[in-house]
Formats: sequence, C-alpha cells, structure tokens
Amino acid sequence: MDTPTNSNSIIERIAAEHIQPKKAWGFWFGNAALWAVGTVMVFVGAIATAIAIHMVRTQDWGLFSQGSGNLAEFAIKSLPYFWIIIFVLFILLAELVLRHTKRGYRWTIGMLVPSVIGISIMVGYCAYALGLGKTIDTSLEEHVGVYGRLLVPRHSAWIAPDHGRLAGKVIGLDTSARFTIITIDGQQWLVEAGSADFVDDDDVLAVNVRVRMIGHVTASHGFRADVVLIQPDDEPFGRPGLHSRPPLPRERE
Amino acid sequence: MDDLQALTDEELVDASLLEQRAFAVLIDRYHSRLQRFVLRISNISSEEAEDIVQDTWIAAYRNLNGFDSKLSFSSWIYRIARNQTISQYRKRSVRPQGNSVELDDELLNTLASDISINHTIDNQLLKEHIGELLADLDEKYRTVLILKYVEDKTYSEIADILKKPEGTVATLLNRAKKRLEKLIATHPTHHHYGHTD
Repeated sequence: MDTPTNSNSIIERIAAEHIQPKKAWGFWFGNAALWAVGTVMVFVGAIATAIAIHMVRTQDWGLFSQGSGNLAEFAIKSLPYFWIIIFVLFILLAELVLRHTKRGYRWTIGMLVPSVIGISIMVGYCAYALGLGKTIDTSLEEHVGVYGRLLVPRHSAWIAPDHGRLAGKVIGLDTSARFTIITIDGQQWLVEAGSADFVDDDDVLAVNVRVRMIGHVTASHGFRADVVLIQPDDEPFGRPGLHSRPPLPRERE
Repeated sequence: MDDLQALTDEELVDASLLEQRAFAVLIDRYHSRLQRFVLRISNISSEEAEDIVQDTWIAAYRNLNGFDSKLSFSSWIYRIARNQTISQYRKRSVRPQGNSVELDDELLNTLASDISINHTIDNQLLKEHIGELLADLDEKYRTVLILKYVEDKTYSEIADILKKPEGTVATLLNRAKKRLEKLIATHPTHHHYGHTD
C-alpha cells in the first residue's frame, strides 16, 4: 500500500533535515530540575518560617509590657518582616515553578498554594524545634552585615533606657545587686538591681551572661532595674557590640 | 503496514522511535483533522495551515521521547498544533481570527442547548453565521468552543491540550458561551428573524 502524500513529504523532510528525536533523558532531567528548584524554594520558605517563629517567640511580650514603652510600636518593630517577605516570595516562586512540571498544569492555585504553604510551615516548624531558626538567624547576623543592619529596629527595642528597657551582656560584676553591662551598640551601663525581681532563678548572674531589664535611668549611663531576665543562651537582642561604635569607658553616679 | 495500522496511537508513538513507518501511520490518521483545526482557530489560507501542520509533525517527531503516556496522543498533537499556530501569529504580530466553521446538527443542538437562546429562531442564526460569530471571539474563547463543540473533546482532553486545570477550562467555556450569547443577541440578522427578548 502506498503511503499517502502528507506522510511521504513529512518523512522525506525528516530524512533530508536529519531530524532526530531528542533524547529521553533530556525530558526527564528537565522535569526533575523543575521539581528540584521547586523543592528548594519550598525549603527556603520553611527556613523563613523557622527564623520567623524564633524571632517572634524570643520577644519578651510579657516583660516588655511592664516597661513604659509603646507596645504597638514594639510589636510592629518585632515582626520579622524580612522573613515574611522571603516566605511569600518563595512560595509564589515555588508555585510558578511547580506549575511547569509535567503534570503541574493540572493543579489549580487553590490546590497548589495551600499545599506549598502547608508543607513550608510544617517543615519550618520542625526546623525551628531543632534549633535551626536560631542558628541561622545568629549566623546571618554575625556574618552578613546587611542582615544585621535589618535587625537593628528589633534590637533597638531593647536599647531604649528612656523607655525603661535595657539589654546587654554583663562585663563586670561588683555584686548581684550592682554590675556593668555592654549593650549591642557598644555602650556600657552601670546597673543597680538591689530591689529587682530576677526572672528565672535557675540562672545565675555572672560575667558574659546576657540580661534584659525593665527599670529606669538614674544618671548618664546609670540604670536602676526593677525586673531582670537572665537568658544566657537567648539572643533576641543580638550580640553585644555587633552594631557598635567603639565602647567608651564611663563612671556612674 | 497493516500490522502498524492495528496499533493504538500510543503504541505507534513507541514504534515511531524505532521506525518511521509507524510515524507515517500517525500522520495519516491525524493530518486532515489537524488541518481543519488550525484553519478553524486562525484566519490563514489552506497553504499556510498545511505549513503549520507540517511544522507540528516535525515538532512532534523531535519531542517523541517527551510524550507523556498518561495523555492521549490526540491531546498531545492538538496541543502542539495549537502552539505552532499561536507561535506563527506571534511572529506575524497578528491576532488569530477564525475561519469558516461548520457544525453538524447534533453538535449544533448541543451548543444551542448549552447557551441561552431561543431554539427555533437562534438555532438557525447560529448555523448560518457560526463562522463569523466565532471569528469575533478572542482566540482563547474560540479555541475552547471549537475544541468542545466541533472537535468534540472532553474537559479532560481540553485541559491537556491547553495545559490548564479542568476548572479553568470550565470557566473559559462558560465565559465563551456568554460572549457567544451576546454576539447572537446583537447580530443584525437577529432582528430580521423577529426575535424579541
């Protein structure tokens, strides 16, 4: 039986132009690459979730309200905007990439976006529980200058002595009632804490311990603490001196 | 060749990777259908449509290893044909407009009952002017109506051809029918038939 004209001319053209089918592994690889990129984006969303949870949970909402600051302002400063933006951005990118996988076009936005968000948040929470949120946040702050500067508003919430809030690392200890701290911006403060409530009696005040305090200014670089929170392993207010000017030695009172 | 004729489309795709005779059988099965489809969704000449369909087969041959066996071959080749048509129009920076379309009575009645028109009068209008009515629609609406009512594709097949979720196909089809209703209602001959709303 003769092959009809249409197929003849097309087969002849395939032969004349030496057209070959593309290799199967190329299609497989392309689809696998899309899945890999999509997965990485979901994972970045998860990391953003972990860090955001860490940042929100290490804010002292209860302790702060005892100070004379503006809670709304504090709350606004405390929100992890950077990581919320990263989360939203990477979820949208993940959706875009996954939609271009072999069968991805079959998924509606209503199916894909909640799934991606759900997976990101679940994995993110697990990462937070494993301490990854804190580890990455701290590492970024120490090694990525831009990131550290982004956090200054968050840290500055605890460098507001005129509003009754002060935080830093103990660098000198006369007694448990009188000690010197250095804040994140490199300032030294002499703290009187004789009548203060120490939150968390299990932790002992010592040099290199980090403290957060509610109280009031008594003199230039002098602070009387009413409440002292000792949290040696927690650094919501960053590492002392990280964003500092060179510390100036001062005498109090 | 008879042994190849007995194979399904999907079996022929696999066989085409080994011998071109199998690919020729696929061409013979679908070539005319694809030509009519390309003509219906565009306003090009038969010769240009033939060129597009040839390019479709060349693209299909190149991408044989990318054929998703979960799809029907029909959906896959229609998808390539549509993409080739759109691609040609992008090169020419021209909006694709439809050519003459004919509906058989059964499909015409199905379309008529799916849109809100007076059967006696507007069925006749639809039949006589379906080509120009569809030509006035945007390409996405025209294509989905042609795939559903002329090519008689299912929602699932249309979703695979257009690479959209089935829900989106349903929405597109709904909007396409509403646009068609409006065009019928405002068509000059609509009043000639004495139809009143």
